[in-house]
Amino acid sequence: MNSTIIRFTAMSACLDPMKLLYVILLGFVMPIGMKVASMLHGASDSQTFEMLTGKVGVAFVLMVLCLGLAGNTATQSGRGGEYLPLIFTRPITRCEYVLSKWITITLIGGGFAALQNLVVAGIGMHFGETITAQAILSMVLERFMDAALISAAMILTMLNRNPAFQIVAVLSFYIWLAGQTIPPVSVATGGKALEDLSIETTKFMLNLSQYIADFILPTVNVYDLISNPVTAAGALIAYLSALAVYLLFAVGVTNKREFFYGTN
Amino acid sequence: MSQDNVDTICPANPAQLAVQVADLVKTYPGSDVAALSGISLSVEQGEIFGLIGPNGAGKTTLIGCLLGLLRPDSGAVKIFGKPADCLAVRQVTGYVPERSDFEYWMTARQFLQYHHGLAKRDRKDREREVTEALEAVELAKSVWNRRLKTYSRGMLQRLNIAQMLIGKPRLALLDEPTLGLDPTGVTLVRNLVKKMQDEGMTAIVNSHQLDEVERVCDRVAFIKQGKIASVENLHSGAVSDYHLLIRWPESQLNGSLNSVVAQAAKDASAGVDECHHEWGRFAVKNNKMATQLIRNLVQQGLPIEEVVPERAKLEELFSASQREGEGQ
Repeated sequence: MNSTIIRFTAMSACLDPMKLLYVILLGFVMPIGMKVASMLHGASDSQTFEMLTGKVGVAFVLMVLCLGLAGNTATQSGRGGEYLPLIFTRPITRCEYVLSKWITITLIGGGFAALQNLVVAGIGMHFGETITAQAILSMVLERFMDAALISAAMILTMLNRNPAFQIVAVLSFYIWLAGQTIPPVSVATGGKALEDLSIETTKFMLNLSQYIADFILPTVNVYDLISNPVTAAGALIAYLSALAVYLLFAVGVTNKREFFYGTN
Repeated sequence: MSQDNVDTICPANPAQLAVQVADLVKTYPGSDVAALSGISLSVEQGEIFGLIGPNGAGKTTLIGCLLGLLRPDSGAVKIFGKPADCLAVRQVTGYVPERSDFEYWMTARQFLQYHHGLAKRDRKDREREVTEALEAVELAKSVWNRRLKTYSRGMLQRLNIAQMLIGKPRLALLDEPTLGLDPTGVTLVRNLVKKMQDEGMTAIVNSHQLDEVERVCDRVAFIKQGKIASVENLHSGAVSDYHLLIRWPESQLNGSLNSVVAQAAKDASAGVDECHHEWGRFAVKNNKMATQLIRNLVQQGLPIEEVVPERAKLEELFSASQREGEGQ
């Protein structure tokens, strides 16, 4: 790990007003507003709320952070950002660079998401909801674990300039995202055939999304892991395997890549 | 990392070549044409070496290989006797890229602090070395803490040069260092390179500014179609020859002007190209010869009003090299 990269990556995340505005709006204003509204009106939390306070919320926050922190550097798009050919002329290893970026993005993204979960839990408790300390701890840990895996996947996608890999990665991400956002009871009206097609399509998308999620972003339920480690061990192994593969692959492609004008 | 540690990793052995390139071949993926087709060269420590050639000749690719950012298909690159991608080499190498990008939220100070950290310099020297680098490139103090998004192209280029200085390199690779700079900035780069040389630093300069290359470089390589067409020593031989245009008041030497001028030139071993009533053009090989010629003329009783050196040799050689290449 390189303390200079960690420090300046954190500064980059915190000193860009547009990034902060996005994170505040999506990460705090919207879910907190939803939580307060549901508490005031006695309604249950909506699916959108669950989405914004879970893994999808972490993914949204990280998309902003990663695009600024590793994206421009890798694509040399001319929009401003670190210039990797110059960075890699310094006496740092590429492994050091990738891991320093990953740990910083994980801590910032996980930190934002965990803080949001704590605020939302606090609002719930203020209105009389009962939440145990173990549940809160599980929530916080889960957000950091989500952030660690999603940021590793995003960094890999941004540093690996192979177009085929990028297409597959982005497509998988959006199918996963679609699976998280499709309402399970969504049924089109307009006749039996259309209704059946709608149900089958939704089921197919949900199944596909679940397969992809299990493969690319396996979830560990930290509450289960704490309560019953033996039964959750399989999920933990899947999670750690995916994380290790992403990081090793990210370091590998960065080591292999030529960073210079005219090279992809 | 302290300078002592750097010396241990990369000992300053004056006998060792700073850069040694042997039979370097590089073809970019997807291209049929080799960007470098067997380039070999060596640069001594303390030397300022120029790379010139037409666009697409392979100069920047060569710099990429010297930095270890590009992997040659075959051949070898040694910097101070070690492979180019060795971290110890990067500790003593500085680079000014032709096209750079910046984190525009940063200030100039923060940008240099970042590179100071990346260069693994001693943190206690950070503020002093950052200030020194900013002063060296003559960036106005009032903009040091201003965000880079407000900087002009020339200011960013000065900062680009400052980041190269921040690591106190022993070898500097400068890719079009005067790009976007005003005449003051161009002079600054020239003086900086000379100062670096005085301090024992080696530099490789890739530039299309032939007059600047001629002024600062000891030797220059003409690169064309991925090959070195020729290497010229700018301190001896054809390129260092130049002409002096010397003006004097309408001669009061009456009929003896031609003989006085001829004798003065002969005594200085200079050649007389032309001699007129009010001026003459002389061929000299170096500054010492030029000084001797001027002294002889004055001693012979010819008052001198103006002396203009005429240099355009590198450009002529460049054009000749181009023509030769086209004729092949």
